[in-house]
Amino acid sequence: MKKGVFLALVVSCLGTGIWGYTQYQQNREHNVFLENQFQRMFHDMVVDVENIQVNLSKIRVTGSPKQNVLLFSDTRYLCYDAQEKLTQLPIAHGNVSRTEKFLSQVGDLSAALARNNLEGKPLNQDEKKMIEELHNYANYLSQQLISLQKNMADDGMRIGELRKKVNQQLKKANENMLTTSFLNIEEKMQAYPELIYDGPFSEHTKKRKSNLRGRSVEKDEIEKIAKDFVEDGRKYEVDSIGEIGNNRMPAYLLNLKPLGNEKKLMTMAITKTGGHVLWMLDTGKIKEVKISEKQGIAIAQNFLSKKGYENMIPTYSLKYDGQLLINFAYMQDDVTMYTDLVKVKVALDDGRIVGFEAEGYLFNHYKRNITDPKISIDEAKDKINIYTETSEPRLAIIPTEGGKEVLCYEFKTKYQEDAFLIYINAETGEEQKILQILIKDDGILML
Amino acid sequence: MRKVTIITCVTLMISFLIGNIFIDTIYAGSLSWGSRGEEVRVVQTKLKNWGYYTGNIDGAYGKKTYQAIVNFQKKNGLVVDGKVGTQTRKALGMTTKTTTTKYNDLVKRAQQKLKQWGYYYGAVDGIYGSKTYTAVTKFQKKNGLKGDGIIGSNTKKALGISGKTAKEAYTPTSRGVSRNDDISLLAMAIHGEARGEPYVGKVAVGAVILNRVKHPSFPNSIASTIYQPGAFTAVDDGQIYLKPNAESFKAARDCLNGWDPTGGAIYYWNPATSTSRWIWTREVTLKIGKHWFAHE
Repeated sequence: MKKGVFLALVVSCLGTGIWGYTQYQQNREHNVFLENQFQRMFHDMVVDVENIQVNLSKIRVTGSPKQNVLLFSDTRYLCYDAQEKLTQLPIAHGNVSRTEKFLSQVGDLSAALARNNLEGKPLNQDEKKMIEELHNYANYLSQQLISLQKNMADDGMRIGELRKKVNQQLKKANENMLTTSFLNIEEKMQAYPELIYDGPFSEHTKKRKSNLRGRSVEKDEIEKIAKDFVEDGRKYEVDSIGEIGNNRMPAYLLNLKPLGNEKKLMTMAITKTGGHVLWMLDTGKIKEVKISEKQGIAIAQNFLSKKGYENMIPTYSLKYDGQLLINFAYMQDDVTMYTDLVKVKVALDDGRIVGFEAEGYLFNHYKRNITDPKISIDEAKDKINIYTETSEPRLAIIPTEGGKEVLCYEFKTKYQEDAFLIYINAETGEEQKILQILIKDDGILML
Repeated sequence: MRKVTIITCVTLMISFLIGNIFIDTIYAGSLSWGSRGEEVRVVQTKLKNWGYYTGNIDGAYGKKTYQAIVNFQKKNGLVVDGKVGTQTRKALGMTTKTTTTKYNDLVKRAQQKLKQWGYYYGAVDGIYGSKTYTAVTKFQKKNGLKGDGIIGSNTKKALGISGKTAKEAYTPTSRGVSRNDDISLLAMAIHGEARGEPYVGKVAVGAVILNRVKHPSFPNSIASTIYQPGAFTAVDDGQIYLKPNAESFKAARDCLNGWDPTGGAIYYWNPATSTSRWIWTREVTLKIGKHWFAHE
């Protein structure tokens, strides 16, 4: 009897042992696999940064704009690649966010300068100085990374260990060599100059001021504004649920519940300046689709003019979840303003408005002085690829990457079965932008 | 007697008129002493390139041009008359086809291409003049072709304007593009992170992800942002792989179409469960449901 118990014990012990060992093996295998990924990303990033600083110094000595374009494009690619790798390493975001920003901005700036070079604008004195400064920062970053790489190799340090430490708040964060190095770099990166250029990551885009003017609206007024906006004859219970405290466009947030219908809910934001409805979302269920897209667009257009948005033209539409989304752009003197956008969603069961979004319009809109284009229609036509079928152009204002506004000729062109929108700058005659129009079952998309 | 004079006069006048009409056609295209214009310029450039002509390229047929042409004709075994007729033209490599002063569609397309590539600065009018000639030769030299100014088959190929477009099957791009990949990934993240939140709270979480994509301190694509190590708890513990419901999909579509209830926030956290000490140093700009949001 005793023997039997003993045997069972031995067998189960052995079983646990084998099971434990395979678990350990598997775990080790996974850790090594993950570590390999991290190491590869880290080493790739170091090489990228080395080449970034080499490129930035080459740019200072090249004479030809063509070489500049090549170097800038290469730098841009290296920066994005390095940034991408850095963001995928298991380092706490707070310890690398400045370094990540540095890489994004240098990449973005390179793209903007490459474009300038193509348009025949050479680097000016300020830009040359900026490149030199950025080179010094990139050089510092590169040196730090190289010494970190060496130390890691000497100590046999593993990046994967960082993951555990990030999760265990008890241990001091700066115990780790990698973290310490990145914190040092981060400190240095605090000081790099503010970069202002025509690109999406440029410092000025964050600081752009809204064109919205009007008196300051108090909290007790928003209930009336909200009810006036909906005006469907029903009674609503209005709950203020908070405020959006950003600097870009501060707003009040509120919920509207129709009395006697608990399931339906509308959420709305109303700007503190001028008391405009910034956006609205209706979460009510949408039943059977009864309304056509054409009718939907007409309903939305009618709604907009009732709310004081005149001269809005629909630019594209998309059908999803039983609703129709329509983008509207403002039109002044036959020029379409793709900056002043309003989006409206119409429920296709009973035609009510279930969504509204006017940040683009409220932020950008003002009465513009549209200057006559310097390039004639015929000159603009000469810029269009000869193999496309082209319609007569119309004038439009489109935003650049960095949020500037440019007057362009908009050409609708066709190549085989694909349709495109081509924008020719009406001041310089440069091809500013190409969008592809994708017509799908659920609507028209533009990429 | 008077009748005869009148008849002679009339015949003379008629023949003079006819002559006037035909003189252009008879001498059309042939250049001789005293001619001026674009074609002379082209001839001069050609002769200068070949070393026959040493004067200025001024478009005026003068003594030097005459001598150059005579020399050229002698060397090439042509009738030595000092005129640029059909034979001389051929020998000079100037086919009438590309040097007509008449509108030509091929010339127009070539001009447009050359203008787009920065070789040509004149008007795109389909008339082959000296500017077009210079542009074509410049283009030919840069592209390793014979710099003869003729828009022949090789030049056409290099310019990319050969008459027929490629007959290869062209697959429309729309078949190769989908927005659903973005939508389902975003819906998964929203579902994992905020399935217990009110609808606007879901849209807000999706909007934060999209705001991060546009922010320099975060990755530049939706996938990299969502899968950034340590960024979202639902990604770290695998809840992202739960099957998202219809509402999460709707929220994902709404934020991809531009609804941002947060007005540009890049952080959010649940004050009841958050373990990161660092996140508490952020300034709260908005509260929706259980989540707190921050812009910086």
